[in-house]
Amino acid sequence: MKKLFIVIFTIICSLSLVVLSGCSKDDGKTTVTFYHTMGANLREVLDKYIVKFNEENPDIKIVHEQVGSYDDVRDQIITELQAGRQPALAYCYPDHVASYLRSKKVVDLNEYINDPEVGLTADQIADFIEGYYAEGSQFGDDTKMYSLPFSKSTEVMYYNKTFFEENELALPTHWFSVDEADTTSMEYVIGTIKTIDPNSVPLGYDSEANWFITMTEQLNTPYTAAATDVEDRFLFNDPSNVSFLKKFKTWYDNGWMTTQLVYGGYTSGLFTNLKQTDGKILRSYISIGSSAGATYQCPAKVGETYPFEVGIAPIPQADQDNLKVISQGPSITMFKQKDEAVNDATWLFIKYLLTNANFQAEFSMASGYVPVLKSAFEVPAYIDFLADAGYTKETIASLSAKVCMEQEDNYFTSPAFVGSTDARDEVGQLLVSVISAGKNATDADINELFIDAVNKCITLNR
Amino acid sequence: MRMKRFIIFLLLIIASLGLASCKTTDPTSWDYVRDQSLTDFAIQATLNENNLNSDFDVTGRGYVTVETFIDGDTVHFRNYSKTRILKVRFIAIDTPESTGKVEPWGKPASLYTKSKLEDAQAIVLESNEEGNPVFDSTGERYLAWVWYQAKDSDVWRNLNVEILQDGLAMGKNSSSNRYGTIAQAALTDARANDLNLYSGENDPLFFYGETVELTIKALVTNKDAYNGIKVRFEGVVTKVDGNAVYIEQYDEDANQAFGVYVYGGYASLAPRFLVVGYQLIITGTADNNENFGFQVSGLSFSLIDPTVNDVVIVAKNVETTPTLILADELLTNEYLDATYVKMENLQVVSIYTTTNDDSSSQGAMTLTCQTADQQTIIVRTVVLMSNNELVTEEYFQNKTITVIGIVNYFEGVPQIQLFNLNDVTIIQ
Repeated sequence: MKKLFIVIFTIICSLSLVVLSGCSKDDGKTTVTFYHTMGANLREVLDKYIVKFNEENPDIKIVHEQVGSYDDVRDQIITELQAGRQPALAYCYPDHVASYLRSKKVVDLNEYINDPEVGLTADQIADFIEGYYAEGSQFGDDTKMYSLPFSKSTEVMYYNKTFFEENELALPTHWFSVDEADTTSMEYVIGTIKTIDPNSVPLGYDSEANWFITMTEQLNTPYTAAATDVEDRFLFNDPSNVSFLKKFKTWYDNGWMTTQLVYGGYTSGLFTNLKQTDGKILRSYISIGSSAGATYQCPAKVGETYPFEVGIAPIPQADQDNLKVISQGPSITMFKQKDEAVNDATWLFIKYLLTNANFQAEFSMASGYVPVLKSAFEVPAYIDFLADAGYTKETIASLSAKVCMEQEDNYFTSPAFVGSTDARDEVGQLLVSVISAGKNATDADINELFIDAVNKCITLNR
Repeated sequence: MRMKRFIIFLLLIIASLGLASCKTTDPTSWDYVRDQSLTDFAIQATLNENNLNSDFDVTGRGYVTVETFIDGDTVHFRNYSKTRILKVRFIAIDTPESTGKVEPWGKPASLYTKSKLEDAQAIVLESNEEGNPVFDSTGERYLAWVWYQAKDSDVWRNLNVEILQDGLAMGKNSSSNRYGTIAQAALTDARANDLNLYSGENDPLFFYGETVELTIKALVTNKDAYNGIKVRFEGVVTKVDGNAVYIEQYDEDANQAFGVYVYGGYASLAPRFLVVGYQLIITGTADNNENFGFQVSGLSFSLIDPTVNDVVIVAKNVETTPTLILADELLTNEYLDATYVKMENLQVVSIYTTTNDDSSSQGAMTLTCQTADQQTIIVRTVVLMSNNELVTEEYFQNKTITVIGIVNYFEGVPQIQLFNLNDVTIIQ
């Protein structure tokens, strides 16, 4: 009986250990770590496709983690690169990759892409939207590929469709008025809106940095260059750039526009505001922001109905022969690991996600970003999703994706180099400093702000 | 024989232990003791103690008191002069969700923040840029560093850093701020020491078990039993309220409908599923939240190859008819919460309008009404608009009305929540 007791006790203890060891990390699988910024909704989509990936690759374990914002991902990786503890895979923006390259631990993906056994076929490469795919080889040596596109977005112009129709306003297609009869300039439209509703701030622009950089692309004026000498990298103190910022300052001084930093929150808050203060509603009628944030640009229902419909159009341009909109949204980059099996497993996972039209379509519907694969636009559910495009919260994401997609030939990215992040931060701050410099600010004051911004970039990168 | 009994006894104990490990522990408490040998980054920064007797919303620094605990990185405080309630989002950190959507380590983070501030003898808010309090991207919540002195201590501790160092938050632009170096070091240290969120272990307060399939009646008549549990049920959407909906299901045995508040969150596909008249199968986590009441959240949506956990549309355009109820029923039936009802012939006897500038409910009204048999019924409106004009007290004054809305409770008293002017009929 004693023996029986010992046997049973041993079996039960062993079983308990098996149950409790479900959380063990040491399960003999090749582990791929993936840092990203995905919130819970997107992590669920990713998890679903990891399950499918594991059906084909049961010996690979994907451990993924929302590290924080894009900057947190970058900062965490820079810290870990120094200690040799970097993840295998991470979300990235081009300027992040430029920072990582100094570590020599970023994998040239062409080594895998061109591999005859595990690489991409010509059809798979051709399935990527060309402009997005090309971003990965913009780091000085175009024979090397340091990132692949994951999902993309751009900036679009949201407008209060109901108000525009009621007041028979034309949509702005360019920034500045050519002459007095020009009713399709942003300048004319926001001036007119201010006359109709003096309590409004007609235009809200979320990203100051995007606005400045986009203007330099549209006007083909200097911004930055990936030059060897630090003094030659920050070129944005240019008379044409001073000129457009001075015009924006006039708009601001007239109460025609605001930005996220000036307003103190996403300007979608102003665009959708219905709250009355002293019997008046402080609101905007145009909001320029990310195409991925469309649902935030829709007002809440009042009772059973929406107080106004929201239209979406491309942002205005400076030159109809040089159409430019900023390319946003994450790419992914791969880091070398000591264990070659991890490197190979990481590539298999990248290949699975980025050649999978269903994943691309589903991730896009959940995120508001657009797919990077042409084939995703042929997935029946995504075709239905786009067909539903409309002007309210239920259907605005589809409309946004359509407008975003229609502009894919006009996407640009800025040169990425060590210090390009500083340039971006500084021009964003510069725009705020100039527009809020006060009505008495002189040309000399504004020139001084430009000089200070350039000098700050140079100092930070010496 | 005695040995046999002992073996059975042993089996029962071990089986009980096994079962216990599958359940969540008490979701309202979490004890965490930090290893004292670890570096304490929370005292590495120094609080500038000048000008603390001032309002943070004016000067960017000042003493505050807690008004409401929301979650691990958001607390509502009352300012120094007690004139305003400040919604505050902690700078540099992002704790997992514990309201709206419950994520692993969200509850521990929430309880951690609460425990630190609940026992504090003094709390100070400080803006990132001196003298410049700013909002976060929502435009409604101040971004702040939160400092506190623990009971019987005169040492100011930086709670943002402390949450990072104990591995209860991700960074959120954690290195680009006034205490960025310390914040980043605290986060790196938590990761290196595998603390909590970074331990790779399960959150002891999170429910990892199987989904419980049940009726709405079973759910809402046993709220405490299902608190924190993943549930699946079917029902029809009766009202949309922002990012949330009310869903109800008729129960023949009880001869009444039972309703539940379901939070859809900001998923871009949510508005396509959460539509009035849609019959849905919902899978989400039940949460008996002290701030937001009982709700089901954590929904997922998919248009391609949905999993068992995604919301399923069973039917569209299902007719939703409010249940006609009498005052007695509203005042005595405790299970009418979140149901869609109609009440007739209510005489409006007094009106209160929310006037607080800080409130998104500014302009909403509470109508105190009487029925024909002199019973008092409360009707609460949202901010009502008619042709882009605010509907004011005058609209309801001395009127007899019939209303359609959702039953909810305010400070334990049932009321009918109106969402739309169309749901009011003026009888006379």
